[in-house]
Order: sequence, then C-alpha cells, then structure tokens
Amino acid sequence: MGTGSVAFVWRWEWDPPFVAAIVVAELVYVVLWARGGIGSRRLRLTPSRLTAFTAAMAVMAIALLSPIAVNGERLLSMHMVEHDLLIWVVAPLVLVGVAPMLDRAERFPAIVRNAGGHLTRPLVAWVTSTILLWVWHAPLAYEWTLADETVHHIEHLSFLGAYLLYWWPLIGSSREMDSLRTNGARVAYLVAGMMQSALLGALITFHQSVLYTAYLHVPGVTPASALADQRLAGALMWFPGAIVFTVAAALVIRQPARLSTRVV
Amino acid sequence: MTSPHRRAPLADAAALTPLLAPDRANSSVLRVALVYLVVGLGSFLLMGLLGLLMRLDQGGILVIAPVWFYRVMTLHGAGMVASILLAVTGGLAAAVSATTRLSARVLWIALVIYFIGTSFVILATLVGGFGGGWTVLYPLPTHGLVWTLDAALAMYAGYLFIALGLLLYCVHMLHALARAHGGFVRLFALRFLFSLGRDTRDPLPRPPELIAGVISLDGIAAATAGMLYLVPIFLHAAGVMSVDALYAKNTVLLFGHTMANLSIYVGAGLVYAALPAFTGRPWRTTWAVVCAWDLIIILMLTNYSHHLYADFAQPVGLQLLAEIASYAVALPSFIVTIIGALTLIYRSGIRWTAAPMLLALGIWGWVFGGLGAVLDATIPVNQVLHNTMWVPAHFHTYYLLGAVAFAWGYLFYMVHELTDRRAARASSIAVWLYGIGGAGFILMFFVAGANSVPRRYAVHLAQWQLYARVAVPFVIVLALGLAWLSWDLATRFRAAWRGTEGPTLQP
Repeated sequence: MGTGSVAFVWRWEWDPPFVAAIVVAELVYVVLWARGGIGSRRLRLTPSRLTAFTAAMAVMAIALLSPIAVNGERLLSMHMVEHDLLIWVVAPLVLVGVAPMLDRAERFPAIVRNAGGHLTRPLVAWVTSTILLWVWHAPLAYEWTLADETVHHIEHLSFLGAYLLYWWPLIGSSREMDSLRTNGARVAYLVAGMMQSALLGALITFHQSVLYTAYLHVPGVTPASALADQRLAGALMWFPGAIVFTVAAALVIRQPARLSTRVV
Repeated sequence: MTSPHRRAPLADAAALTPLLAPDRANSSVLRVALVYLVVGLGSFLLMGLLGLLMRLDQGGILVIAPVWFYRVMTLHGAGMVASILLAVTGGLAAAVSATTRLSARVLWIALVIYFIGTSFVILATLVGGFGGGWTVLYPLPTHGLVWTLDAALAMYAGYLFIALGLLLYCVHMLHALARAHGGFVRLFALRFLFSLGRDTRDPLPRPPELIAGVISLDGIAAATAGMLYLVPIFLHAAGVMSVDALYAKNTVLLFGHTMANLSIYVGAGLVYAALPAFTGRPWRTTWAVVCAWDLIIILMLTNYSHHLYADFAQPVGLQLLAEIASYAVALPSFIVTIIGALTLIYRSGIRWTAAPMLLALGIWGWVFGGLGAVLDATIPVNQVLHNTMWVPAHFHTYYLLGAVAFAWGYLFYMVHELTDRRAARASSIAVWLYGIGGAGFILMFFVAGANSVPRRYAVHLAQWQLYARVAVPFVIVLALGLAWLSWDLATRFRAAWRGTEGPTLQP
C-alpha cells in the first residue's frame, strides 16, 4: 500500500505556543511530582510515574510537531498515526503519571467531583470515546478539520480528552474506587473499546471509494493513491489497536485476590 | 455422603477430586472457566445459525448470493473451531485447577487476545468480504477477485491472535502442570510408561492432568506452526520474500488441523474429569491410559497430511506417515477412553441426568466422527471422497456430537457441582432432541458425500438439494434441544457463579 506520488516531507513544525504548553506541562508535573502531589498530604510518587508523564509529553510532541503531523495534512495515513498516538499512547501514559494526584477527589470542588465521577463511569466513558472517535471520522467533520486549523486542534483535544476518560476506569481510579472491580468487567470493557475502533478501522480500510475528498486536491495525489493511502490509514487504526489492547490487557488485568470466606 | 449423581454410594467415592479445591484456591479460575464455556458455547450457537443459513441455501429453500455464501462459510468454519476450542479449554482449566495452581489472570489475558483474533475474523469476512475458507490455502487467498489483500491480511491477523491466545494458554498450562508434578518426566509418567507400569516411584498424574499436558504440548506445536505459516505470509505481502506453496500448505494444516483435533481431545479430557463424579469411581491412571495419551503427542502432529493426499508435490513418505498416524491417533485413545468409561459406568448406579447423557453422547459422536475420519484418511477412499460432503460429515460428527456435547456436558456438571441444583427433568429430553437432531443432520452429510455431492459449493444442482432439505428439519429439532439446554443453564448460572466461592460458612 503506497502513498502515491506524494513526497514525504522530513521536517518538524515548531509551533511556539504548543511547544511552550508541553514544556510548561512537563515543568508543572515535575514540581508536583517532587513535592508529592497537590495538597498538603504528600504522596510517594515513584520515578516510573515521572517517566510515564515525560514519555507522554514526548510522544505528544512527536505526534503533533514531527513529520508525522506535517505529512498528516496531506496523507490520511499520517493523520491516523497522530490519532493513534494520542488515544493509545499519550492518554494512558498521562493517566499513569497523574492518576494518583487526581485520585485525591476530596481536594476538588463538588461540581468537579460530580462531573468527574459521572464522566468516568465505564459506560459513559466508553460511549463518549466511541461517539467522538466516530463523529470526527465522519467525512463532513473530518474535512472540516482539514480546512480549519482551530477545528483540527479541537479534534485532537477532544480525542485526548475522550480517551483520558476511556482509560480512566482501567488505569486512573484506585482499587478502592474501582468501577471495574472484576477482571470479567475489565475484559468486557477492553473488548468493547477494541471492537468499536476495530470496526471503524475496518470500515475505512475496506471502503471502496475515497472517503475524504479533500485529499484528492493535494498536488500529486491520484484517486488510486488516495484510496491506497486510505486503506493504509484504516489498517493503522485497526491493526496497532489490537496490539495496544493486548498490551493493555496484560497490564490492567489483575491476579484476583483469593475470595474471602463468606460468613453469615 | 451419597453423591447426588448416583443412586447408591460406592466405596471409591472418597477418592474423587472435587471441582472446588478445599481451600477454594481455584475459585477465580473456575469463574474464568465458566466464562470460557459460556462464551464458547454461545458463539457456537451463533455460528450454528450461520450453518443453518448455508443448509437452507444448499437446499434451495433460501437463496444467498454466492459471494455471501463463501463469507458465511468462512466465518462459520473459523468461528466454530475457535468457539469450540475456547469452550473445551475453559472446561479443562476448571478440571485441573483443583490440584494445579493456574493463574486466572493469564486465562483472562488469553481471552482478550482470543477476542481480538475473532474480531479480525468477523471484520475480515463480513466487512472485508473474505471468503477463502478457513484453511486459507496459500497463495489463493491473497489473490482474491472478490476481496482485497487487506481482507486476507486481516483474516491472517485474526488467526495470528487466536494462535497467540492458544499459545499463552498452553504455555501457562504446561508450566503450571510441570511445576505441580516436578517436571515433564513425571507429568507424562514416562518412567511408568517405559517400565511397562512397573516403576511406580513417581506419583502419577490424574488423567485430566496428563491429558492437559499432552494437549498443551500439541497446542504449543500447533500455535508455533501457525506463526511459521502466518509470519512469512505477512512478509510476502510486504514484498520482503516469497513463500513456498507446499511449505504454506503443510504449516497451515499442521496449525488448523491440529487446532481442530485439539478440541476433540480436550473434550475427551473433560470426560475423564466429570464422569467419575457421576459413577462414584475415580478414573485411574493405568499404563494403558498413559500409553494412549502419550502417543497422541506425536500422532496428533503427524496426521494432518491426510488433507494433502491430492497434492502430488507432497512427499510420499509424509502421505504414508499421515495414513498410519490417522489410524493410530484414533484407536488407542478410543479404546482406552471407551473401555474406561464403560468400566466406570457398569453397575455404578449412575443417574442418567443431562450431564452424563451429554458426555455419553460425546463419546458416541467422537467414535462415529473418528471412524468417518479414518475412512477419509485411507488413501484410495480419500481420492474418491475428499472433495465431497463426506469431509464435512466427519468433522461435523466429531464436533457437534463429540466435542460440543462434551463441553455442554461439562458445563452442566460444573453448574450442578457449584449449585447442587439438578438439571431440569426436561433437559434429559432436550439431550435426546440434541442427539437425534444432530444425528439426522449429520447423516445427510454422509449420504450426500457417499453420493459424491461436492463440498464448498454455494449453488447446488437440483439433484443435490434433497439431502440439505431433509437435514433442515433435523437442524430444527437440534436447535430446540439446544435452546432448552441453554435456558436450563441460564436459570442456574448466577447460582453457579456464586457457588465458585464455596459453601457459605456459619459463624
């Protein structure tokens, strides 16, 4: 599956506000990590948390500043790699880094606690992430993101937000507040998340015409090369997702504690 | 205490291994096992509906476009193999978990990987239009006129994940069993075997443990063969290398045929685990049992080549080996299992409820399906019958009436053991419906095969349609039986789930 006659551009896009935002986020995190969280009660945050958050920022920079992003404007497949990195790498790594801090729910105002509690319910989180993923890949919405840079940023932000919600029940919440208490529930949640993205990937892969016609106007692109690129893009949503969910299963499924003796 | 499964207590009852370990250490494994069984048998029912669609089409009762027929056939075949294997492997995990410490976590992870694989297969067939059959003989599927290379790759990716799930299960099972028994020599009772039963210094494994070890070893070999087939195919698709077609055929059948065979042998392992509970007599690890099952380690991996008799390029030595192995793999395990089962049942006072009836039905289906397979594995017969309905006849017999009956029987046994609530009386009638419906359905495949009706054809000539038409009422009888069995299980399942925690204790 080639990318037609579109030349791959090997340059980075140094967007100063975005670079500044990543650097500030990293610095804030380092300070919070060093002092052990947000409030007066100190948490013991392991170096692996810092590593996870730093890796998340690095991957976000790669997704949105590297040649992946530059070529994403001309190749659907590269745009799909951006999305993959945001929802499957950045979102879970951010949660690994910040979850222990956010889990101290009593520090936040009631309205935030209530909204957070509601949005991170597994069903709500799954529905939200599914709707956002599918709606943004609808041809009309997608073409809008290509035409308007602000909408494009909103799209990426909403993907990140939606998948922070999706991964929260698996990674974010503490064992005490766990809404997916059993491994059976965790497996069902993972499979539901995997199935919807796989279905979308399959539909894009096997679609027999070009879904996003804006790519046909890119210099050098032919209908055949755009279709080949679209097939690659679908496969990039579908196949790596399977690997991500396999790794996620290995990490989030727990060895069950021995069932305690029931006494009546 | 009198067993609820029998009319009178027997002396050996105390030697039986309970499903739930005394310290309840296997509670979480029993739960995963229940999920495996329920998901596997639920998928089997869905795939069965696809099978009914195909028979309606072949009977001229319902017209399906050929392009869809082949998609449905591919999904039905791949789905059935994966579903039944899932169900019986779940049962086997439960069967050994009381004495061998298995990790529920590993079993859950294997289940997720299995789901990922099945999702690829479903999407490759229903969305991608792949219809090359479940054995995907290279290089034809990569050059489909109806489907794209992406669809073929998605199908292969599905198999790769299913193979990975199986590999994880088997490696974990083998490791746990070897650790529990102090090594492979003891697990496979090799000193006992080679001393002709005289060296009894090592404690012998229980038959389900021995069978689980055998199956796991062959499962690892099958999954490895799957990787050896699939990885080069991916590299071929990427333009890195080309693949020898004969190599591909051998590895895909070593993978696929062994996976299909595994289901039936794992199912047989469930009989060794469950039947003693109904007869009150433990199934002892005799020299004959050890010999028969240890032989299967080699024989199951060498008989696949009987699917390649028509391939002139296949070395003659492998063809002859396949014929010998096909005969040899069936007979020892048949004889040992059937004689063993009859010995256990004879004058045991067994109460013929749904579970033992299903286990007995499974033995019946295994024997007749196996005989059909042995006939097909005979080279002169194979040259006449191999591309006819005879082949679906034999594997439907040992699947539908063999492995699936074993899985249903074991699930009924588990639910009974965990709830102490007996199956409804009507379930015994449902088993009869299952047996009669299944036998009639399969008989029509055999008759059609004997009359040279070809297999894998979407459009049947008018003179071929009678067999499928006669089969349809039997399928409806079968479906009624299975629907009742499902309902009976559904009413007791929640209690069985809770029952994995063991009996409630008084303070």
